[in-house]
Amino acid sequence: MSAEPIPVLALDPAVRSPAADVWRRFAADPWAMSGLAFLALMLLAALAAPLLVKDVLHQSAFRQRVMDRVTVGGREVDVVSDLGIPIGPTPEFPLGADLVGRDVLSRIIYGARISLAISGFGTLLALLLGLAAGLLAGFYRGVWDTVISRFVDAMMAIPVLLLAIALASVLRQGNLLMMVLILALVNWTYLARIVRAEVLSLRERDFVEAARALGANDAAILAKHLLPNLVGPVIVFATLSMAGNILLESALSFLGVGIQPPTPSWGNMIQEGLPLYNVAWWITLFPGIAIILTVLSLNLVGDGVKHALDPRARSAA
Amino acid sequence: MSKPAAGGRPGIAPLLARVLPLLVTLAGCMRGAAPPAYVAGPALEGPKHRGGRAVFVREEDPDFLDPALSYGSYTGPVIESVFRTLLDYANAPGMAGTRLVPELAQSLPEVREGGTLYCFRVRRDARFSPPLRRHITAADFKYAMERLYKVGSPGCNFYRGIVGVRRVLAGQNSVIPGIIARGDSLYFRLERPDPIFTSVLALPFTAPVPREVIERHPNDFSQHTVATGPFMITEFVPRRRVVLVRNPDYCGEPAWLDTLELRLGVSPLNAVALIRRGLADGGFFEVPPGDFVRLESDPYWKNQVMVADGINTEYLFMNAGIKPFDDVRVRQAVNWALDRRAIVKMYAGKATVAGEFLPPSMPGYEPLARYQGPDTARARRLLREAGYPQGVDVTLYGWTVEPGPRELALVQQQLTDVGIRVRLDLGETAGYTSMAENVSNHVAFGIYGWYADYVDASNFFDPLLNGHRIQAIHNINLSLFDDSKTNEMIERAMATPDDSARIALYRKIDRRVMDLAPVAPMIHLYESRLYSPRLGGWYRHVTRLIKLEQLYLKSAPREPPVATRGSTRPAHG
Repeated sequence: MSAEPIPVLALDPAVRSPAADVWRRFAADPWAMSGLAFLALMLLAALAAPLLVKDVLHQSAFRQRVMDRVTVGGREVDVVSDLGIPIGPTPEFPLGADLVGRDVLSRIIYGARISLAISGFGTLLALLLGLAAGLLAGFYRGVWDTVISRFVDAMMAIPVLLLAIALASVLRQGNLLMMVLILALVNWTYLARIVRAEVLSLRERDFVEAARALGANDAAILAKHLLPNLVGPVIVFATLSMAGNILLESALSFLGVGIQPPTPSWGNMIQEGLPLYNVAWWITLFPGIAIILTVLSLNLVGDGVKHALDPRARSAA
Repeated sequence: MSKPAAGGRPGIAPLLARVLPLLVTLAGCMRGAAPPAYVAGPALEGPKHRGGRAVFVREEDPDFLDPALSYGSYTGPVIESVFRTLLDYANAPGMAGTRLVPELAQSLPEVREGGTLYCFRVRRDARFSPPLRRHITAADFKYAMERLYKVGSPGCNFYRGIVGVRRVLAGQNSVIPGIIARGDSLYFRLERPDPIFTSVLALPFTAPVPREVIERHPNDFSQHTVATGPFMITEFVPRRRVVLVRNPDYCGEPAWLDTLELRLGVSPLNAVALIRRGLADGGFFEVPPGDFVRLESDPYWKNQVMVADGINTEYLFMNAGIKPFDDVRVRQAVNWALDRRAIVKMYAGKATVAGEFLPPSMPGYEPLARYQGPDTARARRLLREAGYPQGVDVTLYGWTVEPGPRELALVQQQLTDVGIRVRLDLGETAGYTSMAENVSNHVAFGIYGWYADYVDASNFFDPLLNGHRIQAIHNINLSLFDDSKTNEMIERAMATPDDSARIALYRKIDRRVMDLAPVAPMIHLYESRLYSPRLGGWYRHVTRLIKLEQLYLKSAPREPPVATRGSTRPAHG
């Protein structure tokens, strides 16, 4: 009798790590990928702004060129006409010049630095505050939960833009750190609520009970068992919140309480272009497009991450 | 603002919700305005229509609605239509508008005692507006003028030639013996003859106010005004509106309009859109450059745009008592650093480069063309000589009204180019000027503009650069410039009755001012205003800017115009 060959156990190539699985599902979403590509491009441009503007565009985002003349189609023209109308898109000014003769493209690139940095760090700070508050409220419940939840309710009852304008007016206008602080202060409450709800559910799960039975203290449970399970909602919140922060920063700068000229931000660029929006449309249009595309990309990425983390949500939908 | 709902998908809907209103607004603004139905221009071919309501707009609140305190050029027309005094300027465009005419006085004053005694009689039919409705007496004028010194009015120093005012200014007295009120007779006794005294008497600072109302409302007269002019204020809601209604007790020619509503908080950009859509009739704002270019190229609407010599100088003041501006070389460096041609462009070309302090059209004006730079090398050298080889850091204060931010950003770069590193601090006009006019705030460097109150160069030199006029609050010698020789020259000129001799002195003063450079004149501005086609009677009065009581609604055309879709031309024009 011949012995049956013993089957060799081998790893199924289809089985991947959870992260790889999430990435596979994310990469399968063309909208999310296009959003990610645009954001990567914008981030690169923002990081390389000085190099790009000076050495590639041969321009300056800050130098006003009201009295300069440039050659367009073999003929010399004023960068800003005697009637105060700046030059439109030309080879030297690909997206036109602004009211004081600065290159709009260069300012959009520098504006990306400001907008992305402020919204990014604002989101990061909101994450820290929201995670801490949500974990405390959800895990300890009782007095912690009551105090934090009521405070969050009160904060959320104030209209966001009004709160941001009030904070921006009281704090020093135009200061980048203050802008980060303002965005974080108006944003953290949303994450605190999400985290609290998740933690209330997680703390009753068996693995938390098991960890407690093995002698793990509160800090270990929070750090090793609860926090990793919050990664999904936090990433989704972060991407969507960044989009909101870009809009809020733009709105505050547009209203004159955000980033102050001559530092370019997309919001204050639109505001600066308004007096001539009907004859020099490029000053307001292109920063507006930059805002729309960036916010749209962030929303698409956030949406893609959400569905990659929870594929059932898409099929249910 | 975008806020992700817990677990929800923001998707495209919130984005659209944000973007759509903007697109709708833009579409509305870009669509051609409805075809106007009236003859273009300020005049009417048919009879004027009495009555009706017009709407004016303005971005900021009035500085004050109190004749003792208000001194803002945009508030001026409102104040002057509500608070009338003994004299007024003739209702006529151009230099004909500089002729003084009796207003609440029965006639022009009788001048006695070698020009040191001015005798007026108050009109018998002069009355305060409802609800007071009592006769205005000479005592009301005296009370109003003595009140100027109690409230620290910016107009205090205009009347220091009246006997006793200097003692009041020094705080040694509260009554002015040189103002004598007996029934309807009012006398002003001067220290010495003053050829421009009647001009300063025509300023609204001297408008009579009723003692009983002031004593009842000492701190909020703006909310309880009593008119002496063709309009009275029936409502003032800060940030919302000021409503002017025809004063039934006004003794002069009544206003044509029943009501003139001044809506506040309307930006120039929105103001143009409102006027073009027939929702407003005019306003106190500069037409934004983009709209100006479009309106000027429209054969119909260009007749609705008024461009007029503002008899104005816009300048940077430098506080001569504060470092680094205590050194004349730094002040001159600022002057050399400026490229005034670039600043003119910020006003869509509606200005001329200023190389002197006096504006064109002002008697005494001489085109000095000083500091026609930019001369960065000379400016840097002057800074070095003044002890600032590494440059200097300063804060430049200014206003946010368009094109202020752009203009000052331009100045910021021009000064930075010579080593004067500028931080901008901009605020709303009324708040900024109040702050700058308070000496205790030590504002060293800022922008200011001055429109003529009357056509004599003393109106520029005396309030703005005479050291004897420096006062703690409402101080408009913002440079705190106190040069004894300049002071003496200004006062000598003001006391010179001969016009040509006075003008020669003013020219010398202008040259001295430009040499000592307490100010850096930038431009002489032309004003631009837009009025609706249905409004008539508007023109730029040389000192009153606009006479609101002369505005009227044009009668509706007999035949309705044929509307042409998308056209901005009138069907019958």
